[in-house]
Amino acid sequence: MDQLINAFGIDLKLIVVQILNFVLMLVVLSYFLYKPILKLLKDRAEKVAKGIQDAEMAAVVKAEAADEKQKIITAANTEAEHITARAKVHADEAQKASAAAASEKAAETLAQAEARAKEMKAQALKDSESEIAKAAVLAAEKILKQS
Amino acid sequence: MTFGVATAYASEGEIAVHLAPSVLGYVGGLPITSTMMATWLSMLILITLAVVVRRRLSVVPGKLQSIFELLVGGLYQYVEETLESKKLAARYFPILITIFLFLLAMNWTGLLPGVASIGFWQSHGESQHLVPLFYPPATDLNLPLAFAFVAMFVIEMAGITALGFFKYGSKFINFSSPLNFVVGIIELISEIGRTISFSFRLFGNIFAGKTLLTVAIFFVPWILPVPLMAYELFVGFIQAAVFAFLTLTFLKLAVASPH
Repeated sequence: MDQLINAFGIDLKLIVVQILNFVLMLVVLSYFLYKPILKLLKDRAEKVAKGIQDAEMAAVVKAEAADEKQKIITAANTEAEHITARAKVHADEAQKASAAAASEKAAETLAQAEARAKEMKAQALKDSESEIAKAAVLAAEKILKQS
Repeated sequence: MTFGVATAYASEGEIAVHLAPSVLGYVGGLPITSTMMATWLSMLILITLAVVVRRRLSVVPGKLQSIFELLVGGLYQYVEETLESKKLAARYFPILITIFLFLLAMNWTGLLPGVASIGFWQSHGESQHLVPLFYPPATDLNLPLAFAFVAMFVIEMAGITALGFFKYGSKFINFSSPLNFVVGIIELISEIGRTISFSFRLFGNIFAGKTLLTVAIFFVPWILPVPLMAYELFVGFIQAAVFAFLTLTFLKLAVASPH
């Protein structure tokens, strides 16, 4: 056994120093390498997860906005249709009213024209009667003069 | 003792392969080996790298940060999936990844040019031989042993904290039936065997690789060592990964309830 230990140069002091070296490396590398890197990776994973969550939320909001947009457009369309229909009704009514008014006025004018014509006819008759009377008087005078 | 390079040493016509690490000197009774120097060098490299990454850390990652994010984040996820517990993963992940990163840094530092070739000439009687300043750390059995002890300590502690001392102990010493007793003893032996397999697997792979490279460079210094070097890079990575992966697997077994 001693021979074996001598041949391999096994020395308890060297083993202890190597164990201390290992412990030193464990402490130093933990401080400078493992902890900062693992923390960084964790932070980054959290950030990525948050980013994905944000993106999902944005997508939901976007979908909601699109929905809202569609609703507004539909509402506007309906409203426009209403307005158009109402305007049409109005226009029809106005047209009818104006047509009625026009025909009324025409009738009135016609009536007035007829009345005037009658009047004129009456006047003409009257005029012709007096004319005939005058002519008759003149004729009578003429006859009387001759005789 | 004069400063020198190993190629000159190799040209003298001999290859020296030692199982024991070369000792550069002593500081207060502690032998300073070339493998220990390389361990410290790799620690310096790894800590510098970690500090650079930490300083430049930003939400939008650069290339270096991406590599480490992938490594740390990916391994963390794997550990969490394997242990099936966020709490256990948070507790044992730093140990597991340090095993991997530290071993990887040491195995790859061992392949840097100058490691094993720059050193001091030491004379032993007639002959002189080179004591390298740096040598691949895992070729020194002390290092794999230290890692194996750490891994086994963590595994046993994980078992005890997850199940309690007596319930965990009943996996190994169980008098409920003769069969369970024998199974427990086999478990106990395999548990001890793990420490040995842990350390010798790493030691054997890296030592063999280094020896292979030394021999290849000695006989054919041109071109041939290149694919071998690439292969050793791969082995260095695989051995670091295997060590960490086995620790994770044994950890998972240790925290599982005995049936």
